[in-house]
Amino acid sequence: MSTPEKANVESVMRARRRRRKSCPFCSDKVKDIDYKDPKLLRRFITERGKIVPRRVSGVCARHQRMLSLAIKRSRHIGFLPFLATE
Amino acid sequence: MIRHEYETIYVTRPDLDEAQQARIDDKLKGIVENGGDLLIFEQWGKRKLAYPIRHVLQGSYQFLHYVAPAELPQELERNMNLEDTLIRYITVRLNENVDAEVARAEALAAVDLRASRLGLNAEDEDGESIGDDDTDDPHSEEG
Repeated sequence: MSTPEKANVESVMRARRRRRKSCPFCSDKVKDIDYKDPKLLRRFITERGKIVPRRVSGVCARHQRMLSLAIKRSRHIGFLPFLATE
Repeated sequence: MIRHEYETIYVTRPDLDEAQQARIDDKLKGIVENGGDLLIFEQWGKRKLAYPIRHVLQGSYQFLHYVAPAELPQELERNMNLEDTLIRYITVRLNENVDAEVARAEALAAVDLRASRLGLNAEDEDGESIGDDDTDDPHSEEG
């Protein structure tokens, strides 16, 4: 067993290093992200309605571009909020 | 003539009577059929909007999927702008330079997927909200 102090340092480091390795869209080989699929898109916006940055969601750059366009289209047509108040 | 594959969603006020709704639908469908090939027309019914648009909280959604020359969406949008009960629309070019029959086959194959993504599976008329964070839609898990 390590000292409490050391254990704490290790857990912090592990927490910081923990990273989602792969883009959820790449693993499904998604070619288009459908703006008419609000259920899916909602997973990539915050409670406030903001688009989740890819450093948080782990989405690759290519799919993040497709995703952000889909979310914006979806907002325009009233499927997703521009902002949500809690 | 080079033709492209488009889809248009338009949202009308939820308080229109059937005749008013039918007039808009027929007019827009007519424009598409005149200048191109209408592949699919769907009525998704009334849905909750994610935010109020022109002070209404619900919208009646219609969907057009068609193959047409590039001028047609412009003409369609010009006509949609003239309707003051039509509160939102979006047109997206899906594919360029397509064959209508190929596109039609693909469009028909995609109907079910779209319905499940939109939560249209239940045969109830007013499709319920799709922003199902806060609504208890028992059908949302299907498909």
